[in-house]
Order: sequence, then C-alpha cells, then structure tokens
Amino acid sequence: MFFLPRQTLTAGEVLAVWRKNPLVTHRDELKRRTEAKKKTQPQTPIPRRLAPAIRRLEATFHFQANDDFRRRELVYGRRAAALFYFRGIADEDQIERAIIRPISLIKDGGRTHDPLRDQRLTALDIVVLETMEAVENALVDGHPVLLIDRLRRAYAFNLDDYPVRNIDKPTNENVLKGPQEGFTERLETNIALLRRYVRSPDLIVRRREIGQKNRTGIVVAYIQSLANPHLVADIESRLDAIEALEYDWVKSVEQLIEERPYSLLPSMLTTERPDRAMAHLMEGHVVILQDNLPYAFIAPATYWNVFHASEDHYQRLPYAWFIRSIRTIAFFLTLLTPGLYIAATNYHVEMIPLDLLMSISGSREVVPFPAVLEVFLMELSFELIREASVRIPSQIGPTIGIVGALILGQAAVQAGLVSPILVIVVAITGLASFTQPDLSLNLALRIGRFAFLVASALLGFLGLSLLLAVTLAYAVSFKSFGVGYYAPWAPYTPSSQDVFLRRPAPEETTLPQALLLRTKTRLDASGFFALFGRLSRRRAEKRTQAEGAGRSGRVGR
Amino acid sequence: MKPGLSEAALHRPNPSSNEQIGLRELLAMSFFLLGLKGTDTTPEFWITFGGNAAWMSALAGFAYVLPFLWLTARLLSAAGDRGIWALAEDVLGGGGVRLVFGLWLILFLLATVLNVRAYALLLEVMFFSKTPGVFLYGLFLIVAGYVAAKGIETVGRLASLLLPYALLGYVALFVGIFDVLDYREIYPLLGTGEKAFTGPLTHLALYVDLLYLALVADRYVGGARTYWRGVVLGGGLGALSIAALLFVYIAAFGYPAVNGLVYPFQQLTRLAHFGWYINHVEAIFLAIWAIAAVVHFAIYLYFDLWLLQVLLGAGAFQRLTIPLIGLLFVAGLYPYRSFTSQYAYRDAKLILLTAVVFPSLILIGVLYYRKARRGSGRGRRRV
Repeated sequence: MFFLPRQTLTAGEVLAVWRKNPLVTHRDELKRRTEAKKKTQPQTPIPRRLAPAIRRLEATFHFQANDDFRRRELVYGRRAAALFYFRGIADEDQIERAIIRPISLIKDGGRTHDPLRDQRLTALDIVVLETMEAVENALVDGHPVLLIDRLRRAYAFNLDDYPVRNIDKPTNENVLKGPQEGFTERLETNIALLRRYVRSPDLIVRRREIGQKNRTGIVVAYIQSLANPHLVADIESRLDAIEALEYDWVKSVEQLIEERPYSLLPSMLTTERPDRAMAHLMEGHVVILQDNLPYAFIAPATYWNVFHASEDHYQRLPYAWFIRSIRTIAFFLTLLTPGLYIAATNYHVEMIPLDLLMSISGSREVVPFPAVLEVFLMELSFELIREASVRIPSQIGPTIGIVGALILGQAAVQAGLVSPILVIVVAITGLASFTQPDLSLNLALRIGRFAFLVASALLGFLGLSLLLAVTLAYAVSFKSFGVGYYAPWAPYTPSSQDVFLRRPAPEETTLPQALLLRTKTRLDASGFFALFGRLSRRRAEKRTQAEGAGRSGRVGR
Repeated sequence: MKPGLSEAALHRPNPSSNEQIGLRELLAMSFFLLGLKGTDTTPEFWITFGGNAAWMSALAGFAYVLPFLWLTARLLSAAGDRGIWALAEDVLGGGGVRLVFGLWLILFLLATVLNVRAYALLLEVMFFSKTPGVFLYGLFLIVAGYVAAKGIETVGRLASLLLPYALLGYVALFVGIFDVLDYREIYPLLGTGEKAFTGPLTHLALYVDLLYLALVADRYVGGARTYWRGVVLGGGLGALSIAALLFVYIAAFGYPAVNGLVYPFQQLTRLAHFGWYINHVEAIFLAIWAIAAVVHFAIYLYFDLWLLQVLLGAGAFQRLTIPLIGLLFVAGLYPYRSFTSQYAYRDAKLILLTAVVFPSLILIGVLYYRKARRGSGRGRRRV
C-alpha cells in the first residue's frame, strides 16, 4: 500500500500488517501527513469583484450543461449580488421567502447591510464563507449561496431540501415490544433521533466530513460524563487517518476503522435502532453515524453486545431469560449441528440410540454420497436460497419458498440425493441462525459452521473440540477498541452481569467497567445510599418501636 | 449520573489489554494443570503407591508440595513480585540462573514431549485406531501451540471460561456412573499402608506444574499473594478432583483390577449412562477432555516458550512458537515400544524433575535468606 512507511519489514511484521488494518496501525503517520497537507493546500479567497467569482462557479458546476444549477442575479442595497443554488436540493419556496423577497424589498436609499445583521433576512442559519472551496462545498450540500459584489465573503443559507425517506420501522431488527422506529439515510434526522432518546446536555455530537470531491458526513456521539476520553480519542484518530486519504466514497466507515479486517468477529455493533444506540451510549460506548447509511456503528462491541437484542430489556425478566436461553441454544445449534451430525454418524455411532441409528441408516441406504458431502451440498443449497431470497424481487418472492421446500427438499429426498434426516438437520441449523439479532454475528456463525463441518469430518468430536478450543482462544484474545471480546467475563470486570442472563432492572446499576468509564454506576451514588439509608433507618425505627412495644407489653403484663 | 472516578483513575491499566491475569485465571490454570492428571495415565502412579488408598496418596502428594508453594510465594513476595527468575538472578548470578533454569527448561520440554505423546497414544488406542498417533501428536502440538502463542492473558482467560464446564463435566460423569460404584472396593482404607504416604515423596514432580506458574508472577494482578491463593485453591481443587476420580476408579473397577487399566478415565466414561436412553456418551466426555487437554498443554507450551525466550534473550515471544513446536514434534517421534516403556520414561522424568526442580528451589531460598540475613537482601514482605 502506498501509504505504508518505507522500511524493511521482517516476515512476521509483514504478516502482522496483513492481518491488521493499516489505516489503524499507521494512523499516526497518516495524521501527520494530513496536517502537513492542510498547511500546504492552497485555498482560493473569494474575489472582490462578483464577475470572476461567478465565472469560477459556473465553470466548476458546468453551468451550461447542468440544468439544475441555478443562478439568480439580484441587487443588494447598491451592490450587485448573485444567488446560486441547486434546484431540487434547496428549498425554493424558502429561498424566495427568506432571501429574495427581503432583499428586493429593501427601500432605505440603497444602503448595503451585512446580511448577518440584516433583520429582514429571515433565514435562521446563515454561515459566512471565506473561500471559493467553501462556497462550492456549501452549494453541493444544498445550501443557497449569496455572493455580493465588492465583498470578500459569501453567505450560505441553511435551506437544503434533499429528498429523504421518512422514519420507518427497522427492517432487520424487529421487536415485538419496544420502539418501532429506525434510523434513516439523513444524518441530521439520525442525530435528532439520538437527541430525542438521550435528553442530556452531556451528549456530545461531533461532526466531520471525509473526502475532497465527494464528502461523506461522519458523526461521533458519546456521553461526556461517561465515555472514556482515551476511547473517544482513539476513534477520532482512526477517523483522522481516513480523512488523510481523502476517500471519494466512504461506503462503510466500520470497515475503515476496524482493527482486523480479516476477522470473522465483528468489532463494532451495527444497529438501525436509535433506542439500541442510546442504550449503548448510556453505557459509555461511542456511536458513529454515517451520511446516507441508516445504521449506527457502536464501538467497542463485545460478544455480549452483539449477542443481545433490544427486546431483552423491554421484556420482563422471566421472558427475557427465556428468549436469551433460546438464543443461546440457537447459537450452538447454528454453529455445531451439521458438525455434530457428521461426528455422530461417522465416528461415534455408539452414542446414537439404536432405534434412531436404524432410522438414519435406513434413510441413508439409497443415498449415493458420503454423509459429509451430503451435508455440504444441502448447507450450500440453503445458503443459495437465503442469498436468493434477499435479492429476489418481492413480486416473485414466494417462488423461493416453492423452490426451496419442494425442489430442494422433497424432490431431492425422493430422488435419493439426500436423506430426510439431513433435511431436518439443515432446517434446524437454518432456523437457529435466524434467531441471532446481529447480521455480522449471524454471518460469522454461518461461515464458521463450515469449518466445524470439516473438523468433524476429519476427527469427529475430537476435531470439533479442538476447533472449538482454537475458536475460543481467538475470541478471548480478540479486542474491540482495546476491550476484550468476552469482557466482563474474561477478563472479569465489574458490571451488571448482563451476559447470558440479566438481572432485574432495578439491580442493573453497575456500568460495565471494562470500558474504563468515568462513572461506575447508573445511579446518583448519593441518591442510592440516601434511599437505602432511609430504608434501613425506617427498618431500625420499626424494630425499636416493636421492641419498645414488646417491652411495654411485658411491663404492662 | 454522577461522575465517580477521577481523571487519574481513567489512566489505570486496561484490564482487557494489560497482559495481566487475576485470581480467577490463575485458579483455573492451576486446576487444568493438575486436575487433568486424574484423567490420563498418571493415576497409575498413585495406584502403585497407595493401592486402595490411591486417592489419599494424591491428597498427600499435594500436601507435601504445599510447603514448596509457600516457599515460592515467600520468595516471590521478597522479589517484589518480579518473578522467581529475577530473585534467582540476584542470588545465583547470571550464569547460575541460566544453568538452573536451563535444566528446568530441558526437563519441561521432556515432560511436554512425553505427556503430549502419551495423550496422542491414548486417543489412538481408545478412539482413533486407524489414525496415526504421530498425526494426533502433531495436531495437539499445533492447537496447543496456537493458544500458547497468544500469551498468558489468552491462556488464563480461556481456562477461566472453561473451568465451570470442566467441573460440570466431572459432576455429570459422577452422576452417570453412580449406579456402577461399589464403595466396599476402597477398603482396606489405608491401602498399601505407609507406602501410600511415602511413595508420592519421590514423585513430587506430579505437582511440579504449579511451580511453573511462579515464573511469570509479575504478570499477576496482586503478585505473590495472588499466586499463593491461585495455586492453593486451583491446585487444591485439582488435587480433590484427582482424589475423587481415583476413588471412583477403585469403586467402579475394583482393586487390583484397576491397576491393569491403562486409561481408567476413558473406560469410566464408557460406563456412564443417564437412564436407559442416553448411554455410550464417551464421545461427549472426549470432547470436554480434549478441550481441557488443549488448555493443559497450552500452559506447558507457554512456559516452555517463556523460558526459551528468556534464556535465548529473544525479542518476540511468538517467533519461537513454530521452531519450538517443530523441535518438540521431532523429539516426539521416538520409537514407541510398549506401555511399560512409556511408563518407565515418565517415571524417570518425574524422578528427575523432583530431583532438580525442588532442590533448586530450596537452594534459591536458602541463598536468598542467607543473603538477607547478611543484610544485603531485599526487604521481605508477608505473603
């Protein structure tokens, strides 16, 4: 890669670079380059005369060719002025009401005002621009820009009107109980959603833009009184590194700032639910929003973060325990069922009860393939159906069911290509995989099960367990932004123990300290002790009263 | 919410990445180091010593090692939690420490080769008769080497994650074989008599693994104190599980019949059943045992790597993994003749380890305290 520092690397170091994201490992170097570049990059000041400014803008935006690039010439006081905007992405009604009409109604002897102080310009947000580059950026952001003759400044009005989707139900993270709204593609809307959930002055929202020609808005949000400043700085420095490279199109910021791009384990949680983003903000995580992406990325993310679903906390405790238990079982079913089937039928037949063994053998009698090939083909077919069902036009969606159930299931069994028991195995695996709330974890499990299939085909239960040991060792050594993937279990750190199961809501008071938060508990400590202090005082008073009553009773008797 | 921590508190070491382990991890590692010995060919030693009282021999052996653990903990405390190497260097000098720990390393490597090979042989005999033992041996080395190369942080956390499941496995096994046990088999209670208690003295190396852990005491949160508590609790749990297993072996198979069984644990798992329908579940116990074995050998390999790194003065710890595994693999290709020779090799190794490690520890202790008495020693702290 061109941005790697030129030095002789040993084989081990090359491997380490290959395994890790160079944007993360070389971020300091990249940041230095950005700063150096910023110093040398020329900025064009706005010309004093209007004509050259107009000429430059018209050339930049291909005025003759671009039908939606508009120019309106005006007179502001005694001076000529020009208003530029893009039709369709700027609100034309507002432009007329808040800019053109007030300017054209000026009847004060031709005195030119400062638009910032001009009471008649009713636009709420006016930004002063000093350079032509800033003017160009404002225009593509949908802001109308006013240029005035003999003024070395331009004024951008925040009147953009990009077409956006309304807030809708989340498509991938459905819940039966809980909020039913998801993020949209508009960054401002997503920030507003976050602000609605986190009504705290401590919520910090820091916005930046990445890229030169085509800029992508990125927002970093965190709770000032909670989040570890080193974590925030770490994330900011990773974003600085991307900024240095001036990506024209940031498809997904997650892939640019994660440490291990080759890892199956996700190091960030992706959610389309603002309530889930809020829940993590309130536990000291950092939320990253990206323009044109209806998701929030949450860092750091531990295994438990990706394993939990939003609904776990909206449901009452016993129901939440039940749901999580089912999901835990489903986790292992997804990962291990095909491998267990192969291990049991190929290596450890003695553990299968005799009746079941006879049934399996009978059903496999006509199948010409070895069991492992049979499983592999069926799992592959299931993946094909799943992938096709995502891409298929909705009008012909039901066809997938017919193809999957009838052709691949029934017909394959009837043709003697696969055994009926295997259809059940694959169906259980597929069904179990749908219970995982996080798409990344779901995909990791789906890929991982093929590895377990191979391991069990090679060495039965021994192969499964050896691979499981390796996987677990990798998982416990994996870190997401410096936080262990199995924290707060391994390493053990204080928390509310919201892992496999959770505690009753009133007892979930300890914040996960694996993130080295500024705060230890969700409650105001003084309030907590005051409450319990009062309770114990009341209890003590009651006891004294009871004892007093008893004593007086005895005395009375 | 009320800010509860100062700015300084935010700079405390990150528990996720400070490459340190705590009591939980150390306890689990001690358990996996010792407890697993009840499930391989080691019970033969205790049964030879104690007969029906083999379970008492196992506990007695652990009791004999306790003073050495205590001495080690005291020395670690005196060394200011720098690790036993640093203290030994103070009293033996650079050359002396290299000689002593070089001997330790050779014996540790010998133990690793013989033990991993014994496990591979066990798998070959009991489960994979068509698979070459050398393949299983190499596979075990690679998997354990991978875990070891991740460092003590990973090994410890993996052990702590798996400990509850390992204990659950023991409980399940005891429940599964409950109805085949005949408790009268453990009588006479004192077995072979005094030999049951004197026998383990020559084979203290059966518990020597707990001393390995002293090598990296600087990596423990809480230093010597954590070491002492970890090895006593984890080792004690391991010794108890060995004693329980030996008790069960004798009660299930009878004495002296149990003496003729090479792999009593695996034979026991074949007897385990849960009602009429769930039986022949040895494969499930094999899976649990194999994961535990990976942790066990990962700890061995970690200390082999650690000693090698320190002795060679090598920079990166991970770079030594592949050469060491290659070396161990080649060393493990020694011709296998019989179970008797295998047993004899291991017997010799245990006596050698006992003769080298424990006296060298005493030597370090004596030299340290003599130096301390002369006023040149470091301040001692209570463990």
